[in-house]
Amino acid sequence: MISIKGDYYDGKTSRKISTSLEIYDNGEVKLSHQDNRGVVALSTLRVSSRVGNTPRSIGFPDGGKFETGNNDAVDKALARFRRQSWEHILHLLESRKAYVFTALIAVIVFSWAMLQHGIPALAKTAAFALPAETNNAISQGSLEILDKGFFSPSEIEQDTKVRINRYFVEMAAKQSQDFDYRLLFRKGNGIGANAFALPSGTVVLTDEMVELVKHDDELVAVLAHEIGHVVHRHGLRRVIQDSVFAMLVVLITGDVSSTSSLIIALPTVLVEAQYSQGFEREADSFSLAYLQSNDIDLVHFKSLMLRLQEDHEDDEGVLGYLSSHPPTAERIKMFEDLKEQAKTK
Amino acid sequence: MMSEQIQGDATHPMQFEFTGSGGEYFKIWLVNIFLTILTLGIYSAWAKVRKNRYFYGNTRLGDASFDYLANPVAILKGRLIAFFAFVVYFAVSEFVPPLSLLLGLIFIGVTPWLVVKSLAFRARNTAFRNIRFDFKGDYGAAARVYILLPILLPFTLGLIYPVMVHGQKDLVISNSAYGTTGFRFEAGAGNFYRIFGMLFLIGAAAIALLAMLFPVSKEAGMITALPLYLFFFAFMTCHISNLVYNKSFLEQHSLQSDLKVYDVFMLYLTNTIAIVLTLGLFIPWANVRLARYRAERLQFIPAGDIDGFVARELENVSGAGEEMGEMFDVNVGL
Repeated sequence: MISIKGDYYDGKTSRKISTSLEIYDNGEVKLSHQDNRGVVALSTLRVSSRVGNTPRSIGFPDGGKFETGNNDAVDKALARFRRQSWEHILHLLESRKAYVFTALIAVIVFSWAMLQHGIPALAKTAAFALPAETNNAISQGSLEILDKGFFSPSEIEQDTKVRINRYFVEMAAKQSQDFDYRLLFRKGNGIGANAFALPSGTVVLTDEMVELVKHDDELVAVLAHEIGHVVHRHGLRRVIQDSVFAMLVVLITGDVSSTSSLIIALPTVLVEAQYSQGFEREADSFSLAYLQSNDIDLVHFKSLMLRLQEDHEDDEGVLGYLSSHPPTAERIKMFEDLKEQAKTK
Repeated sequence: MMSEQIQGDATHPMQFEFTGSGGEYFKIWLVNIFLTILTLGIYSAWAKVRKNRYFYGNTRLGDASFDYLANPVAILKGRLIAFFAFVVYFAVSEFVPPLSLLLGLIFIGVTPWLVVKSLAFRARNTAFRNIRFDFKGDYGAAARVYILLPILLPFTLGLIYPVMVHGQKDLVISNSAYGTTGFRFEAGAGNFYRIFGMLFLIGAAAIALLAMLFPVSKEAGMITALPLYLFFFAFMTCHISNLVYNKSFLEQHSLQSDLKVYDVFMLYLTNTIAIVLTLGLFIPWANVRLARYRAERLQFIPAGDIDGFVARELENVSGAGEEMGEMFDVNVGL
């Protein structure tokens, strides 16, 4: 006979009775404070699965519960007298260092692969599988918000606008006709020298950008970069990537809801910045490829980058990883690499 | 028959205790994540139950521990419904913005129901000495503090915010019971006004400080913002937790919580730094450290014998409310 010390609660009141569970060699059990009418087979009782070293409870048919901290004795009796439930495997996984270490490596590899390749690839496939009109749907209202919050009407001369628009129309004609390409001019105010692309195909150029550049081909590089965002469906892909990432975080850390939201927010910002930088690289190479195929000197791309860097001098340093754009040096390197390639050809 | 003697009296408060360890919980936590990934999320319901069983089971009061009894299948059903609702809500708000307003209204209307179901599910699946807790709040009471008062907030310039928080805590505690014995909440809205008054001053001072720092150096501003945010959060958690516990009564029995702002702030700060530096691997230790500290500072002050609480017959509550509430971040914790 095995005897396991513990406490008994009858389930009717909160009274505690210190007692022992007596397990006989034929697999029947009885609580030591009860008489022989209380004898039952261990295999008919509800035994809670083991979680770390928390107390085990053994439920009797009348609603009473025996609780004990002696997990090992309970496990031994269970192994001998009844079929283990599948949940005992969980404790096995949770208690062997080798299994936990394997799980750790698997989780790290999975997270990295999902972040680096899985989510972007999934979003790309999904974005191109969706009808082109989806791009219009997610653009709705964006321009109004920008107009209300930041922009004021453009003060650029009409002639200049017409001239720039000619480059834009020429460029748009060579692209996928899934989009309704339009070029708009706005005064950027606080935003400064910049250009934006809405997923629907609308490109906004700020007056400050027009004033910043010294050569029309630099503007062509800007416009090509923005059209790159459009044809690669970056807006839609961003929406999908961010929501898949959010769902994954909820799924995985769903049982860590007590953790402060700040801890979740920081990696989210980091990941979204990395994804954004990926899109910018794609748009840069689109722009470079366009310049190349139209026999425009790639040096204009470089001078554009240098001018922009001078204009927004504060966006690098430690905070570079949180920036939505890759560092200028890296963007210029892409241009240098292309030039190298062109030379060797 | 051996019956335990009275375990404490007003002169002998009973100390809460947390007996879990970070290392042990790390293994459970990691296997939870691993199996959740492997099963494409299905296991998350079991993961939640194992996590809660670990934390409840290690929370002890006078030689007995708490017990989490939820059925993972009930939670899984709730999660599937919540997940589906989340996808619909997200798709609609991204692609058909006008319709999302309607969905939002429906969601607001459903919130009190979610809150009530979630509280009932949690209470009825928590047991101590084989007696379950209970919650019997209704839709109307929850609607007052989760719809009506939040709607009035902007019209009162936020001045009724403490009334709302008081109402939400009151909803939880006054409608909770241990077995057939109901809890009583004796805090008034005035207690909450005091706390939020102090929080307002702290917040204003913090914003003023940051407004001076940021123009000087962006980096210095960001580095200062983190501890300020955590201090604000620690101050709020400590004062509200202490108030809620100290003003809750179970018949003549009472609770005594004595969380210190500085201790909690240091815990938050070191936890956050360690979590960031370990890319999240410190999370289990962080959770255990907080649970241990909270238990250390909490006492149950019995007014006499605690053997006489009587169980009540319970019907089962589905997990849908709790899980959906969690998914949409309805905050109903103590």
